[in-house]
Amino acid sequence: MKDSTVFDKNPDIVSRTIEDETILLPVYRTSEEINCLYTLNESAAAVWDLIDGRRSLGEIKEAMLRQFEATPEEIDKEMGILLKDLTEIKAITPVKETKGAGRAGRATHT
Amino acid sequence: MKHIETAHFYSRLYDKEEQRPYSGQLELTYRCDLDCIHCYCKGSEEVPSHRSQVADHRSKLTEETFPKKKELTTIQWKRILDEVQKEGCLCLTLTGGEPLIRDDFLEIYGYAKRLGFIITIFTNGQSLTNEIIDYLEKYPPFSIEITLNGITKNTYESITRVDGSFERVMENIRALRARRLPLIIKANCLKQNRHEIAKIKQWAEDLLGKSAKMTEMCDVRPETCDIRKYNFKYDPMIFPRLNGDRAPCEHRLSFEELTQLRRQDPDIWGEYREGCEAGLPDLTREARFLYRCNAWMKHFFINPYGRLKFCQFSEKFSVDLRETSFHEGFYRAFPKLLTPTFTTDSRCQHCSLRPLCYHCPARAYLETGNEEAPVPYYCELAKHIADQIKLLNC
Repeated sequence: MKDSTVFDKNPDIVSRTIEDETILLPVYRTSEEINCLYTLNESAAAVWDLIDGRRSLGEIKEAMLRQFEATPEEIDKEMGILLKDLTEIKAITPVKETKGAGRAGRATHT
Repeated sequence: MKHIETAHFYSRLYDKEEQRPYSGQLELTYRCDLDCIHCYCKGSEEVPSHRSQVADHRSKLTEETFPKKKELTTIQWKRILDEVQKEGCLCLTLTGGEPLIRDDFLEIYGYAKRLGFIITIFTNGQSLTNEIIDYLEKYPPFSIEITLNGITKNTYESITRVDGSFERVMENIRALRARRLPLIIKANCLKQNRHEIAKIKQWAEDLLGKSAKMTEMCDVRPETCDIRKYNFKYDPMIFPRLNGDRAPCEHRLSFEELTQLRRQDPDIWGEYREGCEAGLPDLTREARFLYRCNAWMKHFFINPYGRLKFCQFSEKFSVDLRETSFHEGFYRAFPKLLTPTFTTDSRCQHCSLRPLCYHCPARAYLETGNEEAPVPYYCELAKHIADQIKLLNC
Protein backbone atom coordinates (compact mmCIF):
# COMPACT_ATOMS: atom_id res chain seq x y z
CA MET A 1 0.00 0.00 0.00
CA LYS A 2 1.44 3.34 -1.03
CA ASP A 3 2.03 6.05 1.54
CA SER A 4 0.22 8.47 -0.74
CA THR A 5 -3.03 6.49 -0.48
CA VAL A 6 -5.91 8.15 1.31
CA PHE A 7 -8.59 6.02 2.94
CA ASP A 8 -12.08 6.99 3.98
CA LYS A 9 -14.36 5.28 6.46
CA ASN A 10 -17.53 3.48 5.54
CA PRO A 11 -20.36 5.48 7.17
CA ASP A 12 -22.16 2.17 7.79
CA ILE A 13 -19.52 1.17 10.32
CA VAL A 14 -20.04 2.72 13.73
CA SER A 15 -17.15 2.99 16.14
CA ARG A 16 -17.65 3.29 19.88
CA THR A 17 -15.39 3.34 22.90
CA ILE A 18 -16.79 1.53 25.92
CA GLU A 19 -14.71 1.04 29.05
CA ASP A 20 -11.56 2.03 27.15
CA GLU A 21 -12.19 -0.55 24.43
CA THR A 22 -12.81 0.67 20.91
CA ILE A 23 -15.24 -1.44 18.93
CA LEU A 24 -16.46 -1.33 15.35
CA LEU A 25 -20.05 -2.31 14.63
CA PRO A 26 -21.34 -2.77 11.09
CA VAL A 27 -24.93 -1.49 10.84
CA TYR A 28 -25.59 -3.41 7.63
CA ARG A 29 -25.95 -7.14 7.14
CA THR A 30 -22.60 -8.85 7.09
CA SER A 31 -21.73 -12.22 5.66
CA GLU A 32 -21.22 -13.51 9.18
CA GLU A 33 -23.88 -15.91 10.41
CA ILE A 34 -22.99 -15.05 13.96
CA ASN A 35 -23.49 -11.55 15.23
CA CYS A 36 -20.01 -10.13 15.67
CA LEU A 37 -18.22 -6.93 16.33
CA TYR A 38 -14.58 -5.95 16.03
CA THR A 39 -12.33 -4.74 18.81
CA LEU A 40 -9.33 -2.49 18.25
CA ASN A 41 -6.30 -2.24 20.49
CA GLU A 42 -4.94 1.17 21.44
CA SER A 43 -2.75 1.68 18.39
CA ALA A 44 -5.36 0.31 15.98
CA ALA A 45 -7.93 2.65 17.52
CA ALA A 46 -5.49 5.55 16.98
CA VAL A 47 -5.13 4.66 13.29
CA TRP A 48 -8.91 4.37 12.98
CA ASP A 49 -9.32 7.84 14.49
CA LEU A 50 -6.77 9.27 12.05
CA ILE A 51 -8.47 7.89 8.94
CA ASP A 52 -10.63 10.76 7.75
CA GLY A 53 -10.68 10.79 3.95
CA ARG A 54 -8.02 13.52 3.89
CA ARG A 55 -4.84 12.26 5.57
CA SER A 56 -2.55 10.04 3.52
CA LEU A 57 -1.12 6.84 4.96
CA GLY A 58 2.23 8.59 5.18
CA GLU A 59 0.73 11.32 7.33
CA ILE A 60 -1.00 8.77 9.52
CA LYS A 61 2.27 6.88 10.02
CA GLU A 62 3.95 10.13 10.93
CA ALA A 63 1.31 10.84 13.56
CA MET A 64 1.61 7.29 14.90
CA LEU A 65 5.37 7.62 15.26
CA ARG A 66 4.85 10.74 17.33
CA GLN A 67 2.21 9.06 19.51
CA PHE A 68 3.73 5.62 20.10
CA GLU A 69 7.16 4.38 21.04
CA ALA A 70 7.72 2.15 18.04
CA THR A 71 10.04 1.92 15.08
CA PRO A 72 8.82 2.90 11.60
CA GLU A 73 9.06 -0.78 10.65
CA GLU A 74 6.83 -1.83 13.55
CA ILE A 75 4.28 0.85 12.69
CA ASP A 76 4.44 -0.16 9.03
CA LYS A 77 3.83 -3.81 9.85
CA GLU A 78 0.98 -3.19 12.28
CA MET A 79 -0.74 -0.70 9.99
CA GLY A 80 -0.40 -3.06 7.04
CA ILE A 81 -2.25 -5.82 8.88
CA LEU A 82 -4.90 -3.47 10.22
CA LEU A 83 -5.61 -1.81 6.87
CA LYS A 84 -5.95 -5.21 5.23
CA ASP A 85 -8.44 -6.30 7.92
CA LEU A 86 -10.40 -3.05 7.69
CA THR A 87 -10.53 -3.30 3.90
CA GLU A 88 -11.75 -6.88 4.09
CA ILE A 89 -14.73 -5.97 6.25
CA LYS A 90 -15.38 -2.91 4.03
CA ALA A 91 -14.78 -0.53 6.92
CA ILE A 92 -12.48 1.60 4.76
CA THR A 93 -11.98 2.23 1.06
CA PRO A 94 -9.15 4.02 -0.77
CA VAL A 95 -10.46 7.29 -2.09
CA LYS A 96 -7.47 8.93 -3.73
CA GLU A 97 -3.69 9.23 -3.97
CA THR A 98 -1.95 12.35 -2.72
CA LYS A 99 1.09 13.92 -4.30
CA GLY A 100 3.15 14.12 -1.13
CA ALA A 101 3.43 11.04 1.06
CA GLY A 102 4.42 12.87 4.24
CA ARG A 103 7.80 12.80 5.91
CA ALA A 104 7.12 9.64 7.86
CA GLY A 105 6.10 7.84 4.72
CA ARG A 106 9.44 8.61 3.14
CA ALA A 107 11.31 7.88 6.34
CA THR A 108 9.90 4.38 6.69
CA HIS A 109 11.37 3.39 3.35
CA THR A 110 14.83 4.85 3.72
CA MET B 1 -8.23 -6.03 15.11
CA LYS B 2 -10.11 -8.88 16.70
CA HIS B 3 -13.33 -10.45 15.56
CA ILE B 4 -15.47 -11.20 18.59
CA GLU B 5 -19.01 -12.46 19.17
CA THR B 6 -21.26 -9.69 20.41
CA ALA B 7 -22.57 -11.81 23.29
CA HIS B 8 -19.03 -12.55 24.37
CA PHE B 9 -18.07 -8.88 24.41
CA TYR B 10 -21.22 -8.02 26.35
CA SER B 11 -20.50 -10.77 28.83
CA ARG B 12 -17.09 -9.26 29.49
CA LEU B 13 -18.69 -5.92 30.27
CA TYR B 14 -21.41 -7.47 32.41
CA ASP B 15 -18.91 -9.28 34.58
CA LYS B 16 -17.33 -6.00 35.72
CA GLU B 17 -18.37 -5.01 39.21
CA GLU B 18 -19.10 -1.32 38.68
CA GLN B 19 -22.57 0.10 38.19
CA ARG B 20 -22.88 0.83 34.46
CA PRO B 21 -25.92 1.04 32.15
CA TYR B 22 -24.81 -1.62 29.68
CA SER B 23 -28.29 -2.67 28.62
CA GLY B 24 -31.68 -1.08 28.55
CA GLN B 25 -35.24 -1.81 27.64
CA LEU B 26 -37.13 0.97 25.88
CA GLU B 27 -40.89 0.62 26.11
CA LEU B 28 -41.71 2.75 23.07
CA THR B 29 -45.46 2.58 23.61
CA TYR B 30 -48.01 0.76 25.75
CA ARG B 31 -50.43 0.70 22.80
CA CYS B 32 -50.90 -2.59 21.02
CA ASP B 33 -52.82 -4.10 18.14
CA LEU B 34 -53.68 -7.20 20.16
CA ASP B 35 -55.76 -7.52 23.31
CA CYS B 36 -53.95 -10.30 25.17
CA ILE B 37 -55.61 -11.63 28.29
CA HIS B 38 -52.34 -11.71 30.26
CA CYS B 39 -50.74 -8.43 29.14
CA TYR B 40 -49.05 -6.72 32.08
CA CYS B 41 -48.92 -3.23 30.64
CA LYS B 42 -52.50 -2.92 29.53
CA GLY B 43 -54.14 -0.06 31.43
CA SER B 44 -50.81 0.95 32.89
CA GLU B 45 -51.24 4.65 32.30
CA GLU B 46 -53.38 4.48 35.41
CA VAL B 47 -51.20 5.30 38.37
CA PRO B 48 -50.97 3.05 41.45
CA SER B 49 -53.00 5.51 43.52
CA HIS B 50 -55.96 4.47 41.44
CA ARG B 51 -55.46 0.79 42.07
CA SER B 52 -59.06 0.32 43.11
CA GLN B 53 -60.32 1.80 39.88
CA VAL B 54 -58.46 -0.47 37.50
CA ALA B 55 -59.70 -0.70 33.99
CA ASP B 56 -62.15 -3.36 33.02
CA HIS B 57 -59.92 -6.20 31.90
CA ARG B 58 -61.81 -6.49 28.66
CA SER B 59 -61.07 -2.90 27.65
CA LYS B 60 -59.00 -2.60 24.53
CA LEU B 61 -55.67 -0.88 24.27
CA THR B 62 -56.99 2.08 22.40
CA GLU B 63 -55.83 5.63 22.03
CA GLU B 64 -58.48 6.49 24.60
CA THR B 65 -56.90 4.35 27.35
CA PHE B 66 -53.36 5.14 26.23
CA PRO B 67 -53.38 8.67 24.89
CA LYS B 68 -50.73 9.00 22.22
CA LYS B 69 -49.99 12.55 23.29
CA LYS B 70 -48.40 11.39 26.53
CA GLU B 71 -45.77 9.25 24.83
CA LEU B 72 -42.30 10.56 24.18
CA THR B 73 -41.94 12.11 20.74
CA THR B 74 -39.42 10.99 18.14
CA ILE B 75 -37.15 13.89 19.04
CA GLN B 76 -37.35 13.08 22.76
CA TRP B 77 -36.48 9.43 22.14
CA LYS B 78 -33.51 10.47 19.99
CA ARG B 79 -32.24 12.79 22.72
CA ILE B 80 -32.52 9.97 25.25
CA LEU B 81 -30.69 7.59 22.89
CA ASP B 82 -27.87 10.14 22.57
CA GLU B 83 -27.59 10.36 26.36
CA VAL B 84 -27.74 6.62 26.90
CA GLN B 85 -25.09 6.03 24.24
CA LYS B 86 -22.74 8.54 25.85
CA GLU B 87 -23.12 6.66 29.14
CA GLY B 88 -21.77 3.50 27.50
CA CYS B 89 -24.93 1.47 26.95
CA LEU B 90 -24.38 -1.29 24.39
CA CYS B 91 -27.54 -3.42 24.23
CA LEU B 92 -31.04 -2.09 23.72
CA THR B 93 -34.35 -3.87 23.58
CA LEU B 94 -37.15 -2.06 21.78
CA THR B 95 -40.43 -3.24 23.21
CA GLY B 96 -43.91 -2.12 24.18
CA GLY B 97 -46.90 -2.65 24.19
CA GLU B 98 -46.17 -3.26 20.54
CA PRO B 99 -43.21 -1.13 19.41
CA LEU B 100 -43.89 -1.54 15.69
CA ILE B 101 -47.21 0.23 16.07
CA ARG B 102 -45.41 3.55 16.35
CA ASP B 103 -45.33 5.41 13.02
CA ASP B 104 -41.76 6.45 13.75
CA PHE B 105 -40.48 2.99 14.72
CA LEU B 106 -38.02 2.78 11.82
CA GLU B 107 -36.78 6.30 12.47
CA ILE B 108 -36.03 5.46 16.11
CA TYR B 109 -34.59 2.04 15.22
CA GLY B 110 -32.38 3.45 12.45
CA TYR B 111 -31.15 6.23 14.72
CA ALA B 112 -30.26 3.71 17.43
CA LYS B 113 -28.44 1.51 14.90
CA ARG B 114 -26.36 4.49 13.74
CA LEU B 115 -25.40 5.17 17.34
CA GLY B 116 -23.93 1.67 17.54
CA PHE B 117 -26.43 -0.11 19.77
CA ILE B 118 -26.90 -3.88 19.62
CA ILE B 119 -30.67 -4.06 19.23
CA THR B 120 -33.25 -6.69 20.09
CA ILE B 121 -36.86 -6.17 19.07
CA PHE B 122 -39.75 -7.66 21.05
CA THR B 123 -42.86 -7.85 18.88
CA ASN B 124 -46.16 -9.70 18.52
CA GLY B 125 -45.43 -9.96 14.79
CA GLN B 126 -48.67 -8.30 13.68
CA SER B 127 -47.48 -4.98 12.28
CA LEU B 128 -44.55 -6.02 10.14
CA THR B 129 -45.06 -4.13 6.89
CA ASN B 130 -42.98 -4.75 3.77
CA GLU B 131 -41.21 -1.47 4.44
CA ILE B 132 -40.19 -2.62 7.93
CA ILE B 133 -39.09 -6.06 6.74
CA ASP B 134 -37.03 -4.58 3.88
CA TYR B 135 -35.33 -2.18 6.28
CA LEU B 136 -34.59 -4.87 8.87
CA GLU B 137 -33.14 -7.07 6.14
CA LYS B 138 -30.73 -4.31 5.16
CA TYR B 139 -29.95 -3.22 8.71
CA PRO B 140 -30.67 -6.30 10.83
CA PRO B 141 -31.14 -6.26 14.58
CA PHE B 142 -29.28 -8.63 16.87
CA SER B 143 -32.51 -10.57 17.24
CA ILE B 144 -36.26 -10.33 16.80
CA GLU B 145 -38.25 -12.06 19.51
CA ILE B 146 -41.80 -12.89 18.46
CA THR B 147 -44.41 -14.00 20.95
CA LEU B 148 -46.37 -16.96 19.65
CA ASN B 149 -48.77 -18.10 22.32
CA GLY B 150 -50.46 -20.85 20.35
CA ILE B 151 -49.83 -23.14 17.43
CA THR B 152 -53.50 -23.33 16.48
CA LYS B 153 -55.81 -20.48 15.53
CA ASN B 154 -58.23 -21.28 18.34
CA THR B 155 -55.64 -21.26 21.08
CA TYR B 156 -53.69 -18.26 19.79
CA GLU B 157 -56.75 -16.11 19.24
CA SER B 158 -58.32 -17.13 22.55
CA ILE B 159 -55.34 -15.30 24.06
CA THR B 160 -54.92 -12.37 21.66
CA ARG B 161 -58.68 -11.83 21.26
CA VAL B 162 -58.22 -10.47 17.72
CA ASP B 163 -59.68 -12.32 14.73
CA GLY B 164 -57.18 -13.04 11.98
CA SER B 165 -54.17 -12.43 14.22
CA PHE B 166 -52.98 -16.05 13.94
CA GLU B 167 -52.72 -16.03 10.14
CA ARG B 168 -50.99 -12.67 10.29
CA VAL B 169 -48.31 -13.69 12.77
CA MET B 170 -47.58 -16.96 10.95
CA GLU B 171 -47.27 -15.16 7.63
CA ASN B 172 -44.93 -12.57 9.12
CA ILE B 173 -42.75 -15.13 10.87
CA ARG B 174 -42.30 -16.93 7.55
CA ALA B 175 -41.53 -13.63 5.78
CA LEU B 176 -38.83 -12.79 8.33
CA ARG B 177 -37.41 -16.29 8.09
CA ALA B 178 -37.28 -16.06 4.28
CA ARG B 179 -35.08 -12.97 4.69
CA ARG B 180 -32.79 -14.86 7.11
CA LEU B 181 -33.52 -12.47 9.96
CA PRO B 182 -32.47 -13.66 13.42
CA LEU B 183 -35.67 -14.91 15.06
CA ILE B 184 -36.52 -16.25 18.47
CA ILE B 185 -40.00 -17.62 19.12
CA LYS B 186 -41.27 -17.25 22.65
CA ALA B 187 -44.35 -18.17 24.58
CA ASN B 188 -46.02 -17.32 27.86
CA CYS B 189 -47.39 -20.28 29.81
CA LEU B 190 -51.11 -19.87 30.34
CA LYS B 191 -54.04 -22.13 31.13
CA GLN B 192 -55.21 -21.55 27.54
CA ASN B 193 -52.02 -22.80 25.84
CA ARG B 194 -50.34 -25.16 28.32
CA HIS B 195 -51.06 -28.13 26.04
CA GLU B 196 -49.34 -26.39 23.13
CA ILE B 197 -46.06 -25.11 24.60
CA ALA B 198 -44.09 -28.20 23.52
CA LYS B 199 -45.73 -28.02 20.09
CA ILE B 200 -44.78 -24.35 19.71
CA LYS B 201 -41.20 -25.29 20.57
CA GLN B 202 -41.28 -28.10 18.02
CA TRP B 203 -42.68 -25.79 15.36
CA ALA B 204 -40.03 -23.16 16.11
CA GLU B 205 -37.31 -25.78 15.81
CA ASP B 206 -38.70 -27.12 12.54
CA LEU B 207 -38.59 -23.60 11.16
CA LEU B 208 -35.39 -22.27 12.71
CA GLY B 209 -33.42 -25.38 13.59
CA LYS B 210 -33.07 -27.07 16.93
CA SER B 211 -31.97 -24.81 19.75
CA ALA B 212 -28.55 -25.62 21.07
CA LYS B 213 -30.07 -24.47 24.30
CA MET B 214 -33.45 -23.16 25.34
CA THR B 215 -34.51 -21.35 28.40
CA GLU B 216 -37.03 -20.22 30.91
CA MET B 217 -37.10 -16.48 30.46
CA CYS B 218 -37.24 -15.66 34.15
CA ASP B 219 -34.06 -17.46 34.98
CA VAL B 220 -31.41 -15.98 32.75
CA ARG B 221 -29.80 -12.73 31.78
CA PRO B 222 -30.32 -13.09 28.01
CA GLU B 223 -27.66 -10.53 27.20
CA THR B 224 -24.97 -12.55 28.90
CA CYS B 225 -25.74 -15.77 27.11
CA ASP B 226 -25.08 -16.65 23.55
CA ILE B 227 -28.57 -15.78 22.48
CA ARG B 228 -27.98 -17.38 19.08
CA LYS B 229 -28.31 -20.71 20.77
CA TYR B 230 -31.94 -20.01 21.54
CA ASN B 231 -34.61 -20.44 18.92
CA PHE B 232 -37.30 -20.81 21.53
CA LYS B 233 -37.92 -19.38 24.98
CA TYR B 234 -40.83 -19.76 27.35
CA ASP B 235 -41.96 -17.76 30.34
CA PRO B 236 -43.69 -19.70 33.13
CA MET B 237 -44.69 -16.56 35.03
CA ILE B 238 -47.69 -14.32 34.57
CA PHE B 239 -47.85 -11.07 36.50
CA PRO B 240 -50.60 -8.62 37.44
CA ARG B 241 -50.87 -5.51 35.35
CA LEU B 242 -48.74 -2.49 36.16
CA ASN B 243 -51.88 -0.69 37.37
CA GLY B 244 -52.56 -3.43 39.92
CA ASP B 245 -55.27 -5.21 37.91
CA ARG B 246 -54.95 -8.89 38.80
CA ALA B 247 -56.98 -10.15 35.84
CA PRO B 248 -53.93 -11.83 34.17
CA CYS B 249 -53.39 -13.96 37.28
CA GLU B 250 -56.57 -15.90 36.52
CA HIS B 251 -54.68 -17.47 33.63
CA ARG B 252 -51.46 -18.45 35.42
CA LEU B 253 -50.53 -22.07 36.03
CA SER B 254 -50.25 -23.93 39.32
CA PHE B 255 -47.02 -25.69 40.18
CA GLU B 256 -48.52 -29.05 39.16
CA GLU B 257 -49.62 -27.64 35.81
CA LEU B 258 -46.19 -26.13 35.24
CA THR B 259 -44.58 -29.48 36.04
CA GLN B 260 -46.88 -31.27 33.60
CA LEU B 261 -46.05 -28.66 30.98
CA ARG B 262 -42.29 -29.03 31.47
CA ARG B 263 -42.55 -32.82 31.27
CA GLN B 264 -44.13 -32.55 27.79
CA ASP B 265 -40.73 -31.89 26.28
CA PRO B 266 -37.46 -33.61 27.24
CA ASP B 267 -35.37 -30.48 26.59
CA ILE B 268 -37.59 -28.28 28.74
CA TRP B 269 -37.67 -30.85 31.52
CA GLY B 270 -33.93 -31.47 31.25
CA GLU B 271 -33.15 -27.78 31.53
CA TYR B 272 -35.46 -27.38 34.51
CA ARG B 273 -33.85 -30.36 36.23
CA GLU B 274 -30.42 -28.93 35.58
CA GLY B 275 -31.51 -25.69 37.24
CA CYS B 276 -32.83 -27.59 40.26
CA GLU B 277 -29.69 -29.67 40.54
CA ALA B 278 -27.61 -26.50 40.63
CA GLY B 279 -29.22 -25.75 44.00
CA LEU B 280 -30.00 -22.37 45.49
CA PRO B 281 -28.40 -19.25 44.07
CA ASP B 282 -26.43 -17.08 46.46
CA LEU B 283 -28.02 -13.74 47.36
CA THR B 284 -25.16 -11.61 48.46
CA ARG B 285 -27.02 -8.89 50.38
CA GLU B 286 -28.05 -9.40 53.99
CA ALA B 287 -31.59 -10.67 54.61
CA ARG B 288 -32.71 -7.43 56.33
CA PHE B 289 -32.49 -5.56 53.03
CA LEU B 290 -35.68 -5.33 51.03
CA TYR B 291 -34.01 -5.18 47.63
CA ARG B 292 -31.55 -7.95 46.93
CA CYS B 293 -31.65 -7.94 43.15
CA ASN B 294 -28.57 -6.63 41.34
CA ALA B 295 -30.09 -6.19 37.89
CA TRP B 296 -30.34 -2.41 38.35
CA MET B 297 -26.55 -2.12 38.36
CA LYS B 298 -26.29 -2.98 34.66
CA HIS B 299 -29.81 -2.66 33.33
CA PHE B 300 -32.50 0.00 33.05
CA PHE B 301 -36.00 0.54 31.66
CA ILE B 302 -37.57 3.60 30.09
CA ASN B 303 -41.35 3.69 29.77
CA PRO B 304 -43.28 5.39 26.94
CA TYR B 305 -43.71 8.54 29.02
CA GLY B 306 -40.02 9.03 29.73
CA ARG B 307 -39.67 7.49 33.18
CA LEU B 308 -36.31 5.87 33.77
CA LYS B 309 -36.89 2.79 35.96
CA PHE B 310 -34.69 0.16 37.55
CA CYS B 311 -37.34 -2.52 36.99
CA GLN B 312 -40.10 -2.98 34.47
CA PHE B 313 -42.57 -3.65 37.31
CA SER B 314 -41.81 -0.65 39.49
CA GLU B 315 -41.68 3.12 39.26
CA LYS B 316 -40.03 3.47 42.64
CA PHE B 317 -36.71 5.34 42.45
CA SER B 318 -37.66 6.34 38.90
CA VAL B 319 -37.04 9.75 37.36
CA ASP B 320 -38.65 11.68 34.52
CA LEU B 321 -36.12 11.94 31.72
CA ARG B 322 -37.95 14.96 30.37
CA GLU B 323 -36.69 16.84 33.41
CA THR B 324 -33.69 14.87 34.69
CA SER B 325 -30.61 13.61 32.92
CA PHE B 326 -30.10 9.89 32.39
CA HIS B 327 -26.82 10.11 34.29
CA GLU B 328 -28.50 11.66 37.32
CA GLY B 329 -31.29 9.07 37.33
CA PHE B 330 -29.09 6.03 36.83
CA TYR B 331 -26.26 6.95 39.19
CA ARG B 332 -28.12 8.97 41.85
CA ALA B 333 -31.69 7.61 41.96
CA PHE B 334 -31.15 3.87 41.42
CA PRO B 335 -28.66 3.32 44.27
CA LYS B 336 -31.30 4.59 46.72
CA LEU B 337 -32.80 1.11 46.58
CA LEU B 338 -29.78 -0.18 48.47
CA THR B 339 -31.02 1.48 51.65
CA PRO B 340 -34.56 0.21 52.46
CA THR B 341 -34.84 -2.60 54.98
CA PHE B 342 -37.93 -4.54 56.05
CA THR B 343 -40.18 -2.40 58.23
CA THR B 344 -42.67 -5.14 59.07
CA ASP B 345 -42.31 -8.65 60.46
CA SER B 346 -42.94 -10.08 57.01
CA ARG B 347 -42.07 -13.76 57.00
CA CYS B 348 -40.34 -13.22 53.65
CA GLN B 349 -37.38 -11.52 55.37
CA HIS B 350 -35.91 -14.64 56.91
CA CYS B 351 -37.52 -17.24 54.68
CA SER B 352 -34.96 -19.85 53.70
CA LEU B 353 -36.58 -20.13 50.28
CA ARG B 354 -36.01 -16.48 49.41
CA PRO B 355 -33.15 -17.24 46.99
CA LEU B 356 -35.42 -19.30 44.76
CA CYS B 357 -38.66 -17.39 45.26
CA TYR B 358 -40.15 -15.07 42.64
CA HIS B 359 -40.88 -12.63 45.45
CA CYS B 360 -39.28 -9.22 45.22
CA PRO B 361 -40.54 -5.85 46.44
CA ALA B 362 -41.65 -4.78 42.96
CA ARG B 363 -43.62 -7.95 42.25
CA ALA B 364 -45.05 -8.05 45.77
CA TYR B 365 -46.31 -4.50 45.32
CA LEU B 366 -47.93 -5.43 42.03
CA GLU B 367 -49.56 -8.47 43.59
CA THR B 368 -50.63 -7.06 46.96
CA GLY B 369 -50.03 -3.31 47.06
CA ASN B 370 -47.36 -3.94 49.74
CA GLU B 371 -43.69 -4.41 48.92
CA GLU B 372 -43.05 -6.62 51.94
CA ALA B 373 -46.12 -8.84 51.87
CA PRO B 374 -45.80 -12.53 51.03
CA VAL B 375 -47.51 -13.58 47.80
CA PRO B 376 -49.27 -16.91 48.37
CA TYR B 377 -48.74 -18.06 44.78
CA TYR B 378 -44.98 -17.44 45.02
CA CYS B 379 -44.86 -19.23 48.41
CA GLU B 380 -46.54 -22.26 46.87
CA LEU B 381 -44.17 -22.33 43.90
CA ALA B 382 -41.08 -21.87 46.10
CA LYS B 383 -42.06 -24.72 48.45
CA HIS B 384 -42.66 -27.10 45.55
CA ILE B 385 -39.44 -26.10 43.81
CA ALA B 386 -37.51 -26.62 47.06
CA ASP B 387 -39.03 -30.10 47.39
CA GLN B 388 -38.04 -30.87 43.83
CA ILE B 389 -34.48 -29.65 44.45
CA LYS B 390 -34.26 -31.90 47.54
CA LEU B 391 -35.63 -34.85 45.61
CA LEU B 392 -33.30 -34.36 42.67
CA ASN B 393 -30.23 -33.82 44.84
CA CYS B 394 -30.82 -36.84 47.09
